[in-house]
Amino acid sequence: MRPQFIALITALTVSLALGCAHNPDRAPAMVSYEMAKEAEEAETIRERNPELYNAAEVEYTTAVKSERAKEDEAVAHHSEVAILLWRTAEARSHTIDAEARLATAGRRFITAEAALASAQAERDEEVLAIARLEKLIQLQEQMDSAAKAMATQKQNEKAKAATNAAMLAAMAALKDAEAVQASVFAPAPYSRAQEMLAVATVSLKNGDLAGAEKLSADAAAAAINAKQLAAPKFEADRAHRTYEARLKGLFEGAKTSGGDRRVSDRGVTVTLRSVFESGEIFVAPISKASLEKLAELASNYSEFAVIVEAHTDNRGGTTANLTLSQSRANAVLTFLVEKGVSPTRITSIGKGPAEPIADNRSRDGRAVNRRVEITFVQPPAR
Amino acid sequence: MNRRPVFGATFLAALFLSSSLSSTVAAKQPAAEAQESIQSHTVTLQQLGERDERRVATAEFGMARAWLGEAQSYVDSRRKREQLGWALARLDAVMPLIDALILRAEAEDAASAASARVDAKEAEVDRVEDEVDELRNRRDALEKEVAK
Repeated sequence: MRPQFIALITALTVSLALGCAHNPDRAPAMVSYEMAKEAEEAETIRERNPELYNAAEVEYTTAVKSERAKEDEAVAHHSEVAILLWRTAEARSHTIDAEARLATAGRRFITAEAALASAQAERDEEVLAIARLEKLIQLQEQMDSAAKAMATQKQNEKAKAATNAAMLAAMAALKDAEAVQASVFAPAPYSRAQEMLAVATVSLKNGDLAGAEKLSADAAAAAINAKQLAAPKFEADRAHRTYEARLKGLFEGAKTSGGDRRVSDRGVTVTLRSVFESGEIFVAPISKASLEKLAELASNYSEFAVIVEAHTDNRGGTTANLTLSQSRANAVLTFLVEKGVSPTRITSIGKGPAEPIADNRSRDGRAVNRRVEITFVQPPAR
Repeated sequence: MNRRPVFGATFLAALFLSSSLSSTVAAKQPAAEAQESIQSHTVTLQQLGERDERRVATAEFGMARAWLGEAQSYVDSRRKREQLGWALARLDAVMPLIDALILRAEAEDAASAASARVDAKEAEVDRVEDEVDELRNRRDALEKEVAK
């Protein structure tokens, strides 16, 4: 558009506007057009729609001319057309604004979509990372749980093994105690040990390992105590029984000697008569067989000491009888030693007539009193 | 949307044509040509009416119909040639206006809808980003737990 034309139209518009401002009878469309051009967005509308604006201005100029010519109908027509054109330009300008908003929205939408895709990708990544971590933690928890279970199992096994060991020890202690007949010689601690072991067995069945272990240990201690108490008594009893058996065997063995046998507190005594001829101090041949049997018996029962006691009747002097009896006792000792009996085991004693066992006044009584007693003496410690 | 420039160019051409003829040629426009123009405007107005679903140009449609009736009443009158030309000229001017008003409404509707979609999309972005923040916090906590 040529600048001269625009200047002319502008000058006309201004002058007409100023002139009409004082005229209340002006056409409403004309006034509307003039007010529209003064609006804030008018410049934008003009710039965006120059052809429409120019056409409107042409109509407006014509209207102004018609107004001067007082052609009211023409004024109304041209100003009406002018305002129609202006409104068209205005609507198109608003359309451009809306399209700009649409374009902006489109760009924002693209940006938002990109941001959404990015955020979703990030979210997916986080979800995956979290899933991995949760799986890891789950595995770790499972491992911890398994390790804990294993540790518990191991501890239980250890406790069970300790309890079993304690129970076995208690059983062994009871067995040892019973070996010395603690049930007989120490019944109280032995029974206590048995009872505690029984209770320990019940505790073990009930799963009370610690209780079972402690009871087993107590049972073992009681059994050991019982053994300690019973052992000496058991040994003494056994020795006594052994001695009794040997003594019985000795008594039975002495039967073969042909002598009289008796058992006393001292042991087994065999009385032989006619070992010596009257006044003799040498063993009579008739008695040698008996003495040999007794020597053999002494060898078989070597734990017994042997006391040889020779007795006389009361005929003759006492001193002579004592000497005689001692000699005779020695003779028997010598005989036994010759037959293999250790001399250290044998004691010979001449009793003389001091210990008669029959009446010396009669011949038979004196014969009885003339005797040799061989006593197998029990060992000092029985 | 592609119709808008076509309509715009058509109506602009019609506008210039009517404007150039309105004061001189239109006054002497033969009845047949005027009738043809009225017929053309009637068809255009009907088409525009079909497009104006939101009724954004009800007043303008009223004016156009009034001017169509006015023009029709002047067709056979030799003394009203100038008025006929003016009526046709106003019709020439109001048709692009109606078209522009409809297009503006359509554009504004599209812009509003697009803005709403953008707002929704941006809200979704915010929501997902909030989720990401929460997930990141959760992941940090889990990483600390794993590191223990």
